[in-house]
Amino acid sequence: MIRARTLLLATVVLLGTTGCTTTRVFHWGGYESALYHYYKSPDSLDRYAASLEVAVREGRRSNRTAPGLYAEYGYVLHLLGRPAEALSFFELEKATWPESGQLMDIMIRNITPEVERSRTAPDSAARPSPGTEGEV
Amino acid sequence: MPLRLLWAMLAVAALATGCVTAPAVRMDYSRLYDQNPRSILIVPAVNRSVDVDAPNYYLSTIARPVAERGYYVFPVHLVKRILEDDGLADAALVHQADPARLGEMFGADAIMYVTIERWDAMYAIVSTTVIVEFSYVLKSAKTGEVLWKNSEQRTFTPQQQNNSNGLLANLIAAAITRAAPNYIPLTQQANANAVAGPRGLPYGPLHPRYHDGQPQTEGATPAGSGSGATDSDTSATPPVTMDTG
Repeated sequence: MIRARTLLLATVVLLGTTGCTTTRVFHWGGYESALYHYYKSPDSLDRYAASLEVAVREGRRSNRTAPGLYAEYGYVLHLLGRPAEALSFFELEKATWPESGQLMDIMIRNITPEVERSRTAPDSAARPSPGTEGEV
Repeated sequence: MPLRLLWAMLAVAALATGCVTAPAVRMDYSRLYDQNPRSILIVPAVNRSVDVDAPNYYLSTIARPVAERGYYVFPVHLVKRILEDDGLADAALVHQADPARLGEMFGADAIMYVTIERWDAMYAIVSTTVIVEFSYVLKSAKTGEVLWKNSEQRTFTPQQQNNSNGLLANLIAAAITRAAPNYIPLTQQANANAVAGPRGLPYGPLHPRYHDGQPQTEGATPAGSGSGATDSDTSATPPVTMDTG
């Protein structure tokens, strides 16, 4: 009976791990379902951002952040009107994955004026309205 | 009896998780090996089904299996937004665009296009049947030629215990309720099997098992194709460790 229970447990554990455990290379956190729910309700940017924040923080701790996640988080920070943090995550994506260099250079170039504006007038209300998907 | 049944269930579960190490089916990977892409741009799917939500399920669950196979995958949502800003909000336009132009835009080596051919959910009182069919094409961003293609058709019903795939199908079917269906496990499995199953992509440069099962340089590929000079360029990527947990 104990063996049967152990086997059942093994089956459940195996099923619970999507894909193949031995080939899991990167840390993704809740990225997949968070992105899906953001598509379903685009006004839930805050929840998507919070999920990415956790995924990225955990990934950095184990040095296994999945490709693209720093950039996805950087873009969300841009939407939330936090250009300086957005810039740092675009730079992090580029440093971690040289393959992203060309795209991240474009993102960095586009966001730099916004970062400078926010530095010269840190307390001004002249921020992009958070939550709306403005120009990239 | 229950013990033997459990052993069988465990075996089926092991098979069903798509844990395939080497492609079992003979596939022609020569063009893929020739081009040896490091980075893959995944663009939004063309939807030929009647389910408006299908492309969202697809796009949310495709980056992980491709990246886990060892390729740099561009951030799929950011890519989607950039394409929209560039007047390419319609996925069909993206799929018709010149792959070389897309490659230049993003600095990608290859582009993955997916078409959702079918997505039918038939709700009955007791059981629900969902049939999905995706087709996958990977094209070179340099030459536009097809490097790899695959298709994936899946049928899920809760009444499938006798089927070899029954247990996993039931797990997925449990998430598909009439009131609040959750197709994430279903699309995860379809995408994982297409990319990492028997007809999937070979391991890419970011994977610890890169080169496993590949022809060791020359050998099978014809000479004069510029050789694989990019192989040693892995120093800039972060250390990749296996998840043993």
